[in-house]
Amino acid sequence: MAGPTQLPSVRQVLSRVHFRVTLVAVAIAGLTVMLTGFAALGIYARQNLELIAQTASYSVAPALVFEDPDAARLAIEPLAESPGVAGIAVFGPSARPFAARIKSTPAAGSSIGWVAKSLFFPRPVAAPVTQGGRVIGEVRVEGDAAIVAGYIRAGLLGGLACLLLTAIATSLLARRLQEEIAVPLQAMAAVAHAVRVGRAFDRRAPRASIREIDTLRDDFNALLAELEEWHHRMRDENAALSHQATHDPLTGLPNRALLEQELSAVLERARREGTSFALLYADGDGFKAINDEYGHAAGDAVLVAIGRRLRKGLRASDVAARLGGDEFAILLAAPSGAEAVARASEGIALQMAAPIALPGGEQVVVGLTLGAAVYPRDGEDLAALVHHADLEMLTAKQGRPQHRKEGRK
Amino acid sequence: MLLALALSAIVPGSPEAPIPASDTRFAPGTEDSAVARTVGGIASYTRWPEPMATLRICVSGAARHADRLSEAARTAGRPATVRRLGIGAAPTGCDLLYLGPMRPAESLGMIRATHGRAILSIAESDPACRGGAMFCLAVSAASLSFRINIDAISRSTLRVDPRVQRVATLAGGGN
Repeated sequence: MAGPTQLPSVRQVLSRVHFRVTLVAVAIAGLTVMLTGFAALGIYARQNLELIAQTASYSVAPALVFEDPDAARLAIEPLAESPGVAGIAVFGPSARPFAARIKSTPAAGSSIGWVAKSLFFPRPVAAPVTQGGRVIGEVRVEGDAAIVAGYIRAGLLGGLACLLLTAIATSLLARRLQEEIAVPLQAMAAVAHAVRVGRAFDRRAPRASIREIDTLRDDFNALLAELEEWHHRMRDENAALSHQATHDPLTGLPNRALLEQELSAVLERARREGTSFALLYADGDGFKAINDEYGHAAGDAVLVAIGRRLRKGLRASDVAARLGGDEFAILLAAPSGAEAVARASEGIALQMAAPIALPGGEQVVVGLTLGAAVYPRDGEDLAALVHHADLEMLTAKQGRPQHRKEGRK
Repeated sequence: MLLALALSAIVPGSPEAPIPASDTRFAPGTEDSAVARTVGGIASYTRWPEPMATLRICVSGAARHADRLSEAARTAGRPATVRRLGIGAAPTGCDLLYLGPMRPAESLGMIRATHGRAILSIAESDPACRGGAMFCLAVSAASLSFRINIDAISRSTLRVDPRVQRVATLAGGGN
């Protein structure tokens, strides 16, 4: 399977496509110019040679007539010096040259010079020497391909330079296009990644400068907005469900499950940090009788009032929980000890001394029996602490009158 | 005044010293043929005011190399006739006057007679070319050269191809 890293990036693809297109264009243009240049240069070079041959033939004619090789050589010497000429030979009736002037040319040694020479001047250019309409000899001019070779060399170098420029221009172009195409796509990809990994639903892709990509971005952002809304609703529902699962619906206090959770956390921390904390158990006195006498609505009102009063005077880190029925528990978070227990007990007693108004208009006073356990004095683990607090509460309960204390108007 | 060496004068070197001019080499014993070739060649590069079909050559004086002058037809590019002309005779019916050795006064008279006529004058033995002939040959054992008298040419009605002058001049000044 091809992973994302093995796939080419937008920039690579753009660069490659650009390079190919430009390469083809440069190659076509360069070849056209080169070939046209070769052809034109070849024609001109040949015409030049023919002209030189004719000139040589004209000026060398008397020398042939008077059979004067020195004069012939002097006549062709200046012509042989012209650029593009490698040598001039004058032939009389015999096969041996009557006069010759050969220029040694360094370009003839190079391979490009050899190629140019065999392309353009495979044979010397010949012109007849005439006297009064009679052919008395021949002039042969050997071409020198140095100029053509120079042109070919310059053409090749120019082609190379064009290729280099092409590569640079392609790279720059690809970079620009990349900024317009790849950057917005990468931004979108980054947002998508942040949403998937970091749950950052509030992130949005920035605007793009290309219409199609911007449309994609709009849709992408709209999808993200829907996703965000859906995510928030889920979170709210989860929070509500979680609250329901951990709180007592009647009093709104944490339930036994949440208290145990908190206790575990507090115990853990107290163990780690070497601090102490306290757990209070509270049980309503004569609650059952109130239920029997005034009905369950009155019982509920009493429970709500107890819950509210227990919550009062506690620190934010303390937890008041309803364990079930008329049983409550208070966690006095660390640091707290026996004094905190005593203070809390007094506070609760003071709170509970005030009468509770029932829905029927009656007022009752409900006392709470407390039992406390202090970590680590009364137990090292949760079970021991709970047991101790429970036991202390039960002991306290046995000493109390089981009838309710009530005040009636 | 005859400025026979007008062209030689422009090149460095003493004018008194023998100045080599057009230099045609030939096999020993073929001097006469070489002379004929050169005379025909000179004629081929000379334009007469009236076009003519035949080159009429008149030979005068004690010419030593005029025996094969009819061969000049080949290099002249047209038929040639050769006629002897007595010293002092009027050069009527001549296109080319070939002057063999003679006394300077005789030579001068012959050349004067060509003035005003379309006659090409060639002196066989006037190395300095001061006798007034338009062309002067210099024949040695193995080579033949000629010089040009620019004054004489410019005074005549004939037109000589500058290339011929160049052959003579350049060869004279080159080596």
